[in-house]
Amino acid sequence: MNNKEFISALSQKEGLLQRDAQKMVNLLVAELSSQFENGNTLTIQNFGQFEVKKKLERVVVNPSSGQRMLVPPKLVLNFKAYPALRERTQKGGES
Amino acid sequence: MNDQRLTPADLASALARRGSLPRRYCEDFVRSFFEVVEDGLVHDNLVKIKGFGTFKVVDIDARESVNVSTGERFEIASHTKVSFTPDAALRDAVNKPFVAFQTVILNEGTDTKEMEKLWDAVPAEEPATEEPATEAPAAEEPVAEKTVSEAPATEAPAAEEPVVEAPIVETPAAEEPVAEEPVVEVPVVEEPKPEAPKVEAPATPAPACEKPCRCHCWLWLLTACLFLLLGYCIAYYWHPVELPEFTCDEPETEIVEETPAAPADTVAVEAPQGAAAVAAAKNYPQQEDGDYWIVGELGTEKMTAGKTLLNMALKYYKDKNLYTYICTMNGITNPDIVPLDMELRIPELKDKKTGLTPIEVAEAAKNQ
Repeated sequence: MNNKEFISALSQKEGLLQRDAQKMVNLLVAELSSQFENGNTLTIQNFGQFEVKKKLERVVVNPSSGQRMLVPPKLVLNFKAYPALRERTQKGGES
Repeated sequence: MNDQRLTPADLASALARRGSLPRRYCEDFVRSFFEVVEDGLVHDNLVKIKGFGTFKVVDIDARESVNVSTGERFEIASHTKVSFTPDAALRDAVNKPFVAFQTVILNEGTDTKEMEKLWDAVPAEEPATEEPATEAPAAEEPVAEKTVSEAPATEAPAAEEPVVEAPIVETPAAEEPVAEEPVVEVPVVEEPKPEAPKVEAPATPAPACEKPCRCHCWLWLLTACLFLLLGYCIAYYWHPVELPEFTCDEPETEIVEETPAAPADTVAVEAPQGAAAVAAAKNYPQQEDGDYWIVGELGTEKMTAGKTLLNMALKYYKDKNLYTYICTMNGITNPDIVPLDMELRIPELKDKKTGLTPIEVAEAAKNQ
């Protein structure tokens, strides 16, 4: 399901025009983005949790050249699916 | 606003504020947004949302693992996992605070012990936490790209500290010819350095101690330099101020001899006036460190709302800094507190050297 299909599915469900649905999605995405920038955690029941996690700096080695590199720390948006969602996707995959 | 836990309701109200939309509608929209994502995942195994990211259902094959406590082998059944990959824009937005950092190539002799200490302090950040606990320390995982072995027995003795929190990862050259990842996490191996044990019992503090020492040296040097500079500045600014004061404190009789050195043309006439001023000054309270004698009274002024000592000084002397003489004349110790309706006697001032009034002094200065 790409973006277009997603928008059309959403517009059908909400009874919106596709254009309006896209606008709303953009608005929501912008809001989410700013929330995550502030380091907030978003929990959706029966779906999952979005969380910004800090990854520490670490040393990595290129096995072929043996070169050691220091990878800087970074903030990563993490999604963790709740068991309910995992179960449903499992069923969908089987059928 | 930071580090809060949000619910869909919070998100909806934030969205309503952002788009100035009805809140009820936003709540509805947020709910159906995630419902559609779920539907898409169930039917298509993949949902792409522009600007946000991609949800994907990933199949994970069955694999063998070992129970840590019993050492038993068992199979983890194949299952699916929902993965989410944020869009580049969102990823960069989230990582904004750290965007300046870049991967650095380390030189050969770089000491990573400081970093290991840091890892010890924060052991929670390690990967492999999303799966059941039994999976993490699996001995050989042919499916996974890395072979994870805790190996506390082999590596730890090198150091007396339990440094090996970070999983030690090796490229399985023999068992696995195809290494999928070109980059592998480094095994943080302790090399017991010869000079380390001499200093203190644990191996790591020794190099750690050296660095702060050097740091302190620099700090001290810097502070010393700063103080020197400060002292120099203070000396420079105070010196010229003090010199005239010394001459002022000389006995009054010398004024006559001294003044010819300065403004040659006026002195001859003014000097006797200066002497007269000194005589008159004896009847009034004087300000020891000032440039003027108080020789008489110009009049009185009633303190009313809106008037200030500064204004009066400006009015009578054209110099607000001379308000101190009004204070002296009236015995005011705190110029911020002057009782209302107080009759203030305005002193008549004469320069200690030339016998001029403040206004004349200002004019003379202007003419020069």
